[in-house]
Amino acid sequence: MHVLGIETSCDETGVALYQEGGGIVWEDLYSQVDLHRPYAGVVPELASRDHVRRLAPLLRGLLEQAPEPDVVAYTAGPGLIGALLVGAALAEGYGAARGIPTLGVNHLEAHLLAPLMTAEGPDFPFLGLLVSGGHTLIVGAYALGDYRVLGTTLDDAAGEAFDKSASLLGLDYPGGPALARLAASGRPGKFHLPRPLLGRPGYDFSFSGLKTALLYAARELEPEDESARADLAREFEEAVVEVLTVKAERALDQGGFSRLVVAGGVAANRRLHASIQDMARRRGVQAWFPSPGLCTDNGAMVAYAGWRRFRAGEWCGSGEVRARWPLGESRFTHGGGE
Amino acid sequence: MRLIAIDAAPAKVSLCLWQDRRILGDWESSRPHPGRVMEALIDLLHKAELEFCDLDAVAFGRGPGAFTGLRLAIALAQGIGLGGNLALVAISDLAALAWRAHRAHGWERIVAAMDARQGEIYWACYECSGQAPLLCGNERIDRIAEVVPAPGAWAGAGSGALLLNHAGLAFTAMDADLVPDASAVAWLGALELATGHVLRAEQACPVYLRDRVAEPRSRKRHKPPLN
Repeated sequence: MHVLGIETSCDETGVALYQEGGGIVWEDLYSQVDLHRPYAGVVPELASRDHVRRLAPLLRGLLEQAPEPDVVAYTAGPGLIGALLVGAALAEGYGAARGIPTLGVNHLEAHLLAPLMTAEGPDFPFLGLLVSGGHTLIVGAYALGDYRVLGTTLDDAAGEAFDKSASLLGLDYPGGPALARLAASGRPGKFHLPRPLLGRPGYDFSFSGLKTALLYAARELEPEDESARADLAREFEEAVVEVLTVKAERALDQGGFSRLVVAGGVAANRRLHASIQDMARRRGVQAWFPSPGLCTDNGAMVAYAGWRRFRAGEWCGSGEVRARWPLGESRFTHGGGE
Repeated sequence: MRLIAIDAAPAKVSLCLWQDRRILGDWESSRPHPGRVMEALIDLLHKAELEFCDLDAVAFGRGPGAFTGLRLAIALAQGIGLGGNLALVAISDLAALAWRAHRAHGWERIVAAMDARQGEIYWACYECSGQAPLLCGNERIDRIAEVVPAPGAWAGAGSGALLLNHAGLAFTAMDADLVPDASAVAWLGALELATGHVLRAEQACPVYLRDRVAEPRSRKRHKPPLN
């Protein structure tokens, strides 16, 4: 069985083919980063326009060079509604014309399941820390489709905070990786930024106050003082990483999990990776990170999540897309006429 | 010749199953929902005892019109084209609107105009004396007050015609309720298909006319710093 995965939820157009028992056998991705750079952020209308330009050529390439799909999975939400609609419409059109099942995949679930794609990947149950430009969640994952969101951000997502703070430091879009590169040359302890909600019980996050604190600190910097800018970037990164690590550790402790999955674009951050691995070793917990290519949005994770869902007896094919689709409401529609 | 046409340029989505200059079935809905559209399309085919492989092409309204609707129609057409190995035919929604006006009223000189919001309209002039509307000039997006059709008497079709009329442009006749639909796209699509004007799925793209949809950061006024 081969499952086609289509991803168009934000600013990456991705297609991939997952082969049952063989893994990903084809993958292609087009990033819109250059398109959105002049706007210093993702412009939803431009994103939708680019998906409709890029998706069909990517899919043509897959169909000409990879085995024929038996199932089509596409990201049905959460995400930019116009962008989601492009992927859903093309997927539904293709599925109907081929006479094969289609199913809508939750983007958050696809991120969460990405590290399970390899033979060394974890089994359920596990704790998920999902950190990206659009989402920051701590999730108890007990079985496929059985997820409990333990904590989420009350304002900015972690990746969003990285991008906005990078902009405040005068770094180019996309700012998250640029801030991390600048932070690598910064010295620890030269600034002190808050660790929001760290002292409070629970697993929720808040990053907007941290971003504001960085703004105030940045305004005091001498314009040419690159070293101080790097120090401030270092402190910002350490603050985010500390909050994420401590909250994840707290959830591991209180939820009794022995496995931790870190997923999403921020999972590629080296300092977060090191901090989580260090914490996991200390606690005797195993931690999994997706490969760098699977951290950002991609078609492979959608294909894999689609395969998991299809094998569990689900096929939706409603073509419905949802800008907001909480992971805890991850629908599960069984086949057989239900 | 047999084709399926999809249009979603106005606030609704419509389908038309077309064979040899006649409509075998049609459908429309105000909800742009890909799954429902495909269910309706399969239903049309079943009622006509046809399969996707019996089709010669997929025609779609390529715009101008509602951005999301255009992308819905095109992405569905691309998917069907890739899945069914079918050619695609792109049809102007202003031409489809003019053709509907010609068929409904017999007008031969038509300004097809659609409300583009923000004080602007999508518009073009067509002469409809033959089998298909002949575009006079270009398809344009302009501020309502700046629309100047070519000299002569014109009838007005579409929501934009009413706006032009309110702004002082006189038409010989007007039907402001007309919108492009899949039946007009099918008719014009069949003509295009007969002349070999077809696309591969990856060549299909919308015509928005409104191309400036965001301001680059350097052109924006910077927000003042806190306090």
